[in-house]
Amino acid sequence: MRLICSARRVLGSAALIAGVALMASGCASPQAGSPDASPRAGGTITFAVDVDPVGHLDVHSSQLDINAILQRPVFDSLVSLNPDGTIVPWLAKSWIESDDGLRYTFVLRDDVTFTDGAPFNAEAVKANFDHIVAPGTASAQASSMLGGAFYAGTTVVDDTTVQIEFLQPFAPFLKNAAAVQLGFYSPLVLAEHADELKAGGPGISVGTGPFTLSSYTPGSELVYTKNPAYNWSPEGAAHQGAAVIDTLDVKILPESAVRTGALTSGQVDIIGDTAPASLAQLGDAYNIISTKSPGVPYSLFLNVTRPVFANVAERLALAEGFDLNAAVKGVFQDRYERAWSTLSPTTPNSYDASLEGSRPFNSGDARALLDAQGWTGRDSEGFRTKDGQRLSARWISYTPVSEDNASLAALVQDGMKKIGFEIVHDVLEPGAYLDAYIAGNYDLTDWGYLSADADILRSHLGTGGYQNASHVSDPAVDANLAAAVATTDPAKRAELYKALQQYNADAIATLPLYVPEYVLAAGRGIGGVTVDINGWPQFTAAYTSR
Amino acid sequence: MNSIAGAVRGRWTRRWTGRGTSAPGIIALFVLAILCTMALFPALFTGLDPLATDVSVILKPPSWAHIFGTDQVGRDVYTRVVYGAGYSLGVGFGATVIALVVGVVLGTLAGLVPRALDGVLMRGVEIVMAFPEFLVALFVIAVLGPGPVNVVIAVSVAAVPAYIRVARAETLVVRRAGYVEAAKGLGVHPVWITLRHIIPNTLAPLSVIATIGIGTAIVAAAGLSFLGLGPQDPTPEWGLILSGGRNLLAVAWWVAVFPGVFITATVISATVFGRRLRSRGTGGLR
Amino acid sequence: MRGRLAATGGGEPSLGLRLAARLGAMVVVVWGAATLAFLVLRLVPGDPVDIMLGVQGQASPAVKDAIRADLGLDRPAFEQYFSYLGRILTGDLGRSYQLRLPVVEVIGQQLAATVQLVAVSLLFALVLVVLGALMFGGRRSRIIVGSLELVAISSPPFWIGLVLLAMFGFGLNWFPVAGDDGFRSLVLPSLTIALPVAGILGQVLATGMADARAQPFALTATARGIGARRLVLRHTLRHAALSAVTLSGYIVGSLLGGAVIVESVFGRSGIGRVTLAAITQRDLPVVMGIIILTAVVFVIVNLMVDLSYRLIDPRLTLSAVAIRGVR
Repeated sequence: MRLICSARRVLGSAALIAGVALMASGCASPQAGSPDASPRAGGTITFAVDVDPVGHLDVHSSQLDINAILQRPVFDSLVSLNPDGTIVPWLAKSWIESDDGLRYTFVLRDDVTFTDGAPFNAEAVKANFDHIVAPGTASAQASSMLGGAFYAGTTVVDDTTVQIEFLQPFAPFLKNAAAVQLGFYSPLVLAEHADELKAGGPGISVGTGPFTLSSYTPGSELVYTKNPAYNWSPEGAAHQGAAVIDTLDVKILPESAVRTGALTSGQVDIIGDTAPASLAQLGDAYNIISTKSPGVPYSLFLNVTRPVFANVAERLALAEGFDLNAAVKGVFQDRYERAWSTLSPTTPNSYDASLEGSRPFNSGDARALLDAQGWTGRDSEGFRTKDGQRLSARWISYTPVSEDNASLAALVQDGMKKIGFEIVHDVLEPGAYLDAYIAGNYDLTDWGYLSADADILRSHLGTGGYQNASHVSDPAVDANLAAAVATTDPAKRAELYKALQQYNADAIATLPLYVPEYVLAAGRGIGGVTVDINGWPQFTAAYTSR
Repeated sequence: MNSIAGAVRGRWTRRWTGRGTSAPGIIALFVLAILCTMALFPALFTGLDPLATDVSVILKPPSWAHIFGTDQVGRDVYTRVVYGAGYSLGVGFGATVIALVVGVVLGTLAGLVPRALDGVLMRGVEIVMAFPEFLVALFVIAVLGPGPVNVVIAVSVAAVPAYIRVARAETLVVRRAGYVEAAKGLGVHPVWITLRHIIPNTLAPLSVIATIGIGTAIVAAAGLSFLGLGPQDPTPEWGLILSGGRNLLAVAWWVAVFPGVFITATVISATVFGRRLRSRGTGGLR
Repeated sequence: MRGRLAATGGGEPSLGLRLAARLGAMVVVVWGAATLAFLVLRLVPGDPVDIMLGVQGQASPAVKDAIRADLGLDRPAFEQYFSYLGRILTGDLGRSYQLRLPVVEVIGQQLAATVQLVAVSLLFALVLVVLGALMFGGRRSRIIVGSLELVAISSPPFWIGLVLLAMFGFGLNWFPVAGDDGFRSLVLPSLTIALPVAGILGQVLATGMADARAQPFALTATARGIGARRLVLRHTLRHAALSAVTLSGYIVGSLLGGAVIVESVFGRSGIGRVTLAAITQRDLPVVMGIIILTAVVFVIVNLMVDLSYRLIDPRLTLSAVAIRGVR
């Protein structure tokens, strides 16, 4: 993973290398903390985030990123994924993958206990994986990370040995096994509080992690207390043993300006999901860790089954018709990169960098394309028409739309208006959005999808995939996706995903807009905070010198 | 936010606006006239497009080129505020007219129907009035869902009980007036009496409350927009523009400050003007 | 005045009868609110189970049916209504769709923060009003104060909040911009709510005091050689407070309505945030719970207002005050 440690990426990509080099001392092991901070055991770190996962606290069924961030201190996984894409032992000491790729055998640590006293063993792994696939759990994300239809089952071999079996080879499994969605609840909780997992809270959100959740006030605060018995950090982690701090206090502050203000006034120590506008306020006294999110970048999905985007010409006109570089630069104040490919640059072992710069802004060409398609008339508002029909696309989004994305949408609309292409942006409530989405009653929709494995393209570009908002259905694409999920040869997988990215660059089923970043800003006296591949904070080694 | 606030504003501003001709009254009328012209003919006030973006002038402070500065996508804040007048005054006016019509119809009915029915209706009104008007509007949004049209409905539902009460009280007074009794004696149809005599008489005091109520409705609608329950970006609506500027206060105060100044100026003008209407003797709050 | 239920008028019935009438009216308001809340739930378009599951829910029809049966949504409407009323009587307001917790617990967790905010706001408003009355009693300064009051009443509360935040939070750094810890973090949010309330109270009070000054007792007191300030504090203020008390319904409304906006602007937790979240997520059991809570608060405040009339000015009877009230 490329870790951008500096907030000052104002000079463009040439200076970026220099910037990274300059920051190398603070950045080599991704850590936040001012040089003057001297480690001190104990104390409290306050971490402010924008939302809490109210009612979606079950790691096995929740799809909220914020839940994954806030449950990581409590839940451990079988393995750990380093930011560079390598996988190291965690609760599993070692593992063997069968030659046919259908069976993974994990040897578990024998010294791990849940914070409610239950032992962590093969039975616990089985109970958790069974819970994920149980129909009552209604899990979409965790169950697909466990292989979805490919998952066959989990078998207990002995107390410390467990086998996971698949119906067909499922390459992303090890990477997925590192995610908090495949983390482990205490079997006691699964037996007695299965219906309360979504509400969560102390005594329910119980794992083996370095912290226990000791209090939860929905919409307001989560307090975590150090687990003194913790001695099973991932292999190679900078810090082994129990957490340094005694207490982690997470505050929910929805307004980004308020979060920033809380940091600058010293009310909180670290803020997450820091808006680019807020970064401008923070000076050198703050340590900023910005991590490009792997997976599908924030993109527009062009519904190819609708008349307006049925032909590639109109899709290309959208891709070239407005100045995306300037829009991303303007909205994100030079801090986020525009996206070139349907995979983010930080998605391990898959990104096709050759696409960068491949399709510059060219409104002249976009106009010519639209003229050639017969969109030559003009109506009273200046939009193009053909046979009396206005050239118009309906873009649906669901509430809430972030301010930055709303600004970007305004720029897309205004840019396309200049070439006579109307974009109507309908912001819908989740319920109404789902209705329109399932009915396919839209020309455009938007999202980014965070994932550490390029297999996420299967649900976005594969025929019938749940996130296939573009409704593309191409046998060649499906074949490549199927081949890529079934092979564990990294080189072969990378080739297949590059072909898929090339396909999308030509077909424009999705128009990638920008690469989202998770931005943490830490105040003076805070150190030792590390981040995972998603840029999400890990607090085991975190310390405060205040 | 509340018609009581409106009533109180109207009632007590008399003290400093003075009774006869007053500079505040003239200024208020002038401001309202400008705002209404702005709402109807925004192009007279600005040559720019409220939706036109320009990434080269993002978040620029006020200058001669952009007297209220520019917003996060380089739109001219002044132009957006000018065009927002149409939207915000429209919502305020629309919601008030709906509330007035519904209030007059229900209030007049309540004053004319048998006591038992009147009692039921008025208990219902009292129950709704137990809630702060802004909360009533929020609850209506909870039922109908967010959206610009629903904001108008929510704001008018919240305002209606106050109009019902006044219309009913006026009806009770007017129905006993000599000329109504006389008309009854002459055998004039009750519906005709209601339309010809009772409703016009309730309208006079209600129009004063309504003038002040427009300001109240504008603030309520802007509040709902601010919370993200009304129109969506890029609509130039005052509450929404203000909301878009709330996270930019530390770097660009102008995005949030100017629409707020306009809302406040509109509400003050409507209040002072409503007060003037009353002091001219067109009616009074009882 | 809005929502005064015990406007009995006529002669003076016995205290017991009046108390019974008032209690009856209180029950009617709460019952009416509960019924209204129930209707709200029935009126909302869409399947409550779908709303409950949200965008993320890809549950099978069987799972949905199970949830429906669990919530009693498969039973006839009137049966649901009576079991709902029955549960309210036992203090059970149902379970939140989104938070998956009992509504009573959801509200209970947040109540203290809002009560604190509202109490401090009220305190600020009163302090501002009394200061204004004492320091700017003169005719000329009254015009200035009157103008300020008009601006405070006419400004949208969220805008006042943002301006205060920009000036004293981000600009001068006098007060923390967020959080729930300590009195300092309460200052700006409370001031935001207090300013419009103080504006209204100030205007009402000013008129009341002008009336009071013309009363014989004021003349007598002045003749006795009592100082102007002392006169205000001891006599006129008390007299004028009566007209302000009649506004309490409006004031409680401003405080609660203000809490919704202020808690969201300042990122505080509390009932206002819960309300807003429940509305945007269509968390109807919580919405219903808030409706009932508001009704209960309203009747309690009304009762307290009636009692305080007697405390402030024992000469006045209930009906006499009602006539003075501002509608």
